[in-house]
Amino acid sequence: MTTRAIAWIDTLPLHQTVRDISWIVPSVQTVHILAVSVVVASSLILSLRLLAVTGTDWSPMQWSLRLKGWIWWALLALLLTGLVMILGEPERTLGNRVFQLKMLALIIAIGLSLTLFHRVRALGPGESAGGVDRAIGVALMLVWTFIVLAGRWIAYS
Amino acid sequence: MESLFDWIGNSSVGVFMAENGTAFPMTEAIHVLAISIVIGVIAVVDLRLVGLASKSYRVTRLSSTLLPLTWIAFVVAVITGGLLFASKPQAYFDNFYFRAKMVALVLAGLNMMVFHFLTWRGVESWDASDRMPPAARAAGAISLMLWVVVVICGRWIGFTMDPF
Repeated sequence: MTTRAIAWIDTLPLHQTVRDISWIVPSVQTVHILAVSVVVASSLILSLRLLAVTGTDWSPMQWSLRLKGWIWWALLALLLTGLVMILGEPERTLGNRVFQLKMLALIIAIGLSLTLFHRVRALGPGESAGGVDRAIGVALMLVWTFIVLAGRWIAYS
Repeated sequence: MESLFDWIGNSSVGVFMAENGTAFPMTEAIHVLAISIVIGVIAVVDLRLVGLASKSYRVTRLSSTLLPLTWIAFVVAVITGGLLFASKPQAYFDNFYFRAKMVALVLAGLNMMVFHFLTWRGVESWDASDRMPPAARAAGAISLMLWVVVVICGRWIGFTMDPF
């Protein structure tokens, strides 16, 4: 199925456009990295807040409200710019083991984020996060670290 | 300058970065991760200064809780950036986007110093305010723009220079 998808994308006029116009890929990658920085930094701040290391003037709930919208918009930007990169190089992305692992990790990261956004609602202003919330926060950070490292690695594999 | 670049390029670190197949991509991946944290975290402070977000968080408290994170990540970005540079010092130095990135970094540093040493002096009077004085708003906006320039240049370095 992957082979089919790659072959199909190769026939698209857009595939050729992305490859022919030299500024498209670096521009799209620039936006992709900026969006990554929003998601990674937001998740980091939220995780560190759950560990009571950073931003303790606000409750986890307040941080979650502050960062949630930015995370979703950045994820949308990541999806769109990611699709352009797939259009340009379907075989290096879809057919690449590192890319496949990255997408799996992305699904896990989204799941963990949704769980956290939901769980912090149960925390009162003065209440500190429990072990489960802390563990989810740490896991989220590890998964994002993997995603970023894998993302750069795709270019070399 | 050339002899310095030769020396760096021929040092054991330079040779290792140029010749080891996984050293360069690994270092670059960590570099991107570090820069993401620097920019994303600093943006939260910048957006507070500009007045677009976190308006109920005291500016002094927000910067003292977030800036240490940025500095740690910045140190990692500088170290990994130095290692990438060591793989081909002369080629990087000759690259337009590399130079532009360094200029943007210096400007970001100057912007931060002006903000810290001049604008910050009156912070008590606007610490909890949701509307910052023009100098503080300008510092936030300039910082956001310069970091975007850093990422643009960084990505363009990769497309105007062969990694190996």
